[in-house]
Amino acid sequence: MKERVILHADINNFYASVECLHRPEIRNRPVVVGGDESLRHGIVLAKNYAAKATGIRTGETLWQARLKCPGLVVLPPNYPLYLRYARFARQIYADFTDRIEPFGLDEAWLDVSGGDGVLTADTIRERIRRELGVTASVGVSYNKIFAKLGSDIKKPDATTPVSRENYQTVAWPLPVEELLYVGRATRAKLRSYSIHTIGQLAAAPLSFLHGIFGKVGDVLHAFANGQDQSPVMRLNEEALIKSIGNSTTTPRDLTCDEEVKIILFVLCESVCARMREHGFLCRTVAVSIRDNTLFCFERQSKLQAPSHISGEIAGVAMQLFRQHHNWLKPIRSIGVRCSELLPANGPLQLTVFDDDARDKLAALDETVASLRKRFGHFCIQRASVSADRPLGSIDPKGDHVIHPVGFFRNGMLK
Amino acid sequence: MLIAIPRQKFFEQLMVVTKTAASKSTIPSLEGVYIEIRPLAEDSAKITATAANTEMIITASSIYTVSEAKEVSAFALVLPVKIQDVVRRLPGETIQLLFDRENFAVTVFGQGHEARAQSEFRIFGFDPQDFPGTPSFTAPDLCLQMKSPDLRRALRQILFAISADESKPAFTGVHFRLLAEKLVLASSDTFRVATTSCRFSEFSHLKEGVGSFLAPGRLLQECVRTFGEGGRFQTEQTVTLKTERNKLLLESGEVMIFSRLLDENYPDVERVLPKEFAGSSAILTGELIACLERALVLTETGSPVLKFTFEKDGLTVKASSRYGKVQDRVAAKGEGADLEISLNARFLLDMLKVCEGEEVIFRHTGPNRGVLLKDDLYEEFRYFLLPIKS
Repeated sequence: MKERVILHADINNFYASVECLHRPEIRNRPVVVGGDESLRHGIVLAKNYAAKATGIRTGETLWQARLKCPGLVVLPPNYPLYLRYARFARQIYADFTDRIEPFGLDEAWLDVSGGDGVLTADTIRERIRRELGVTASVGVSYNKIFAKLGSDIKKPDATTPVSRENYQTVAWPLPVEELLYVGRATRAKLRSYSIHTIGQLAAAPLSFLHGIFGKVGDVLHAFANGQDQSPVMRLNEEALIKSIGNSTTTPRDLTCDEEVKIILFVLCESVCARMREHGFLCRTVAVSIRDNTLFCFERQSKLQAPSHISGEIAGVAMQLFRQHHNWLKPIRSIGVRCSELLPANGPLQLTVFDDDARDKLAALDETVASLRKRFGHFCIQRASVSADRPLGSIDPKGDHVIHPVGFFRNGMLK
Repeated sequence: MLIAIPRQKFFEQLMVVTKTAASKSTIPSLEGVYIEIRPLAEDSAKITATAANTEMIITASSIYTVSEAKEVSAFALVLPVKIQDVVRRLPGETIQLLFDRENFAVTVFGQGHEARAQSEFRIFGFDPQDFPGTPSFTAPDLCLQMKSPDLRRALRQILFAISADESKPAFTGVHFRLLAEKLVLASSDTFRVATTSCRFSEFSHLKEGVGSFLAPGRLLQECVRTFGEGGRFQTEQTVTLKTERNKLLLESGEVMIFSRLLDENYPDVERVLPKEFAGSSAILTGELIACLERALVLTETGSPVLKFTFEKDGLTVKASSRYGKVQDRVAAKGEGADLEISLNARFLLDMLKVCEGEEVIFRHTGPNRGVLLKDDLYEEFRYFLLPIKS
């Protein structure tokens, strides 16, 4: 087989760059995009180079950022705008290949096998700069993992090839956490075995890694040695979705079942509306809870029948919560995730006794969705949700952030 | 104490109960079989075998002619279910049981054809005091007597449609409803409903207002296995059914099955069965079974969905999957409107396999609506199956 040529394009400081593009007056000042502090979402989501120079880091709280940099410009996120730019970027990629695998909003893998990788990468960068007014870093390699490493090496607006000839000098000296799927926990574990760089990880025996991490150990070994074989998926949104979920850090810590119920209803409505938009039913509902000590867990349960009815799913979610949470600590964040999706228009075994009531509930959800589309999210609310204005006044669907789709979704770990 | 009894009879008695013994229990004696021996005369004794799990208790007793007896007096112990296998494999027609009263153990001897060929098993049992007693039915609310082949037939016609889903407990049971001279049985797993009835000969209604009850499906499956023709243990031709508050007893000859009734609401089944039909189709049962099984070959595992086209002179069954396509046609006598509908073929086969008549009659009400099936032999047996909406 001929060697693959894979690009990984990463738009530099995506949110902040797009904001600066639209507000020329702040271009040269330190800028961060951050969540709403009044709703306790006040962390740095993105920053520009001026802000980076003051030592601000993504993920830290806005008050910490302001301490480091007086005069910092903090902007609220404008997701529809970012989404528009992400689509523009994908249109550019689509001129080069049909194998595009988005990874979050601002990153994408491109399979351009058969072409000259570095030349294509330079052309793409040039077009993004000229047509969109933002810059991108592109990694060029023979597998997805090294391509992603490459795009992180030189910023902004640069092309970095990681080839079979040079990966040992380019990729291996990098700290191990640069590797995809080495997060905080894995890094800590690796460090305890004195593995600090990707090269050290690559040199570690497979059996040793397998012993520590199980299957993930095999994957890490393959990643570090550039043996990743995973293909670049074709751009096909439907096939990518394995589960639909929504979580929120609540405006204040929750202390009783009633408050949890409000949040669960809000989240389930958002998840169900999204399932409806994508034409899915789900079989499994999972609830994740994070308390004020940041301890978190997730529990799931199977539905009696596939559903996208918000009332039903919220009922199951609430039952799960009641079963598994003991209220020793107040709750900071709750998530609901629906998985085992199946197409809503696929074959469905009808039932004898309860279809009428369910049809009505489905019609109700449908009506609420169309009202919200025309008159805004808050035009209609459940009575229980409007009982507590601050809690009920979050719109997780409208405010939502698109997270990168998991790398392992095509089941390579199975 | 020593007794000698016929091996085969004892084996069959054990067979009736051992399947019910709890497979894993925190009370070890629940995993075994309770055996009680009571001498009746010089040369006869009554042996009672009982097994229990958290859902039900089954007991079978039988009077044995004892060919050899020494120091026989009433005695009980709990033996592991392995006793059944031991009795099955022992040589000879007669086996000797030597009980060790102090240690709750038994030594079983089997004599081969030759004088010197002998098997000897010593089996360790348990103290029987942990074993649950059988509930008493002193003042039953309801007492019915039925012919056991008739009850077996009725149960077979509906038991396949109960649900195995413990999250819908009502649907794991069979609903019984008392009418003037018959007992109406219904089962459903919410995708389909099966209903039939069974005649009873004697009836006493000791408490007013007990007209219906919900019995666990597991227990009734045991009844089919045990009572009447095809049953493993010789029982009488009649079955007595008694309820008392939340308890149920089914008794036939020397076999008794006890259980708790399910305390759940059951929907009105009669209400959901259609009364008016757009068309009907009569098909030979055997032909239809063969046709469905052929078509099923090409369906995906776990999705046994077939497309049915009912016409005046025939039924066409179609399936397609990544393996290919199949089209299978059987003769049918159709009346009224034609119909195209998708059905779960496994659900259909469940019913067809218990049909005893020549023909099965489909009655339909329209696309995406349920079909009602009938066996031409039994007027009371009806099966209502909801289609698959595609």
